[in-house]
Amino acid sequence: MLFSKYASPQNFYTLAGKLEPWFWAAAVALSALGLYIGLVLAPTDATQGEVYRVIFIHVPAAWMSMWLYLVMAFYAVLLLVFNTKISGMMIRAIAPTGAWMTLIALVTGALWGRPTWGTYWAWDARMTTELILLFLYLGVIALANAIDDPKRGDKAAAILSLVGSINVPIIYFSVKWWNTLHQGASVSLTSSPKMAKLMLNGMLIMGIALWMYAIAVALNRARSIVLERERDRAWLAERLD
Amino acid sequence: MDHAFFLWGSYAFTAAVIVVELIGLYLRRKNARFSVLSPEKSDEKA
Repeated sequence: MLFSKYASPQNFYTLAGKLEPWFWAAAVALSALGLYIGLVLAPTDATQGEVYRVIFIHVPAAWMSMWLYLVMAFYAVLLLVFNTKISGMMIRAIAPTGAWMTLIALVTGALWGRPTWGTYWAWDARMTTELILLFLYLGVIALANAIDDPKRGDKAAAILSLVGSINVPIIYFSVKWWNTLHQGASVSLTSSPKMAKLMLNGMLIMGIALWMYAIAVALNRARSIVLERERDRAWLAERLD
Repeated sequence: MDHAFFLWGSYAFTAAVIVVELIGLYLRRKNARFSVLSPEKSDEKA
């Protein structure tokens, strides 16, 4: 079975090493295209002026912050059900990038909020739940590293990943469930886009670029974790010689 | 404050985060490879 084959650290290490450069290349190429559309081709917004161009970073980073937590929850299920070694490593590999994406979403949101809303921060539902997401990521990182036994650390991090994932739909629907200063969803699957097509395309391309970046970083970090954990294994010394 | 500060501040912050993350990845990989190739040295260090 393909899944079980690549769940072994040895096979994962090899496969991830082959895939990683392609994800880096895709991330660089799509970022260049997305930034060109966002910063050069997209017209100035009629009401917000130039500052709206923050969306080409802010929205994709916010999407990634939620998506990466769901991916961690998926690996948590794999770990808790099938007890695969790689799942715990992937949770540890994804969490720092998820935390960085959340921080980028929060900081760029604040920098966008000051000129458009008149304030850097408000304790509204969207912003507060996104801040909670950052604390959840930090909690997963801290919990995984606080326990000396890596396997027990993996399981603790997996449980927090799984429990914390309930926050993701709350973040997404917060702008519908409560009256928030934060505007509604930028893109919806059920309604037509409210922004110019060029702006939307730039945002979607940047979203895919950050996704490719996150995969490349997670694969790189996971390979380092394999090196750290399997360092006494003969196959690894042979591979690195 | 000028809107340019907020716009370019956002991009500069994002770039800084990516640079920090990439440096972290490089250092972690370097250290992990070192621990595989020279286990006794890394044990002494630990």
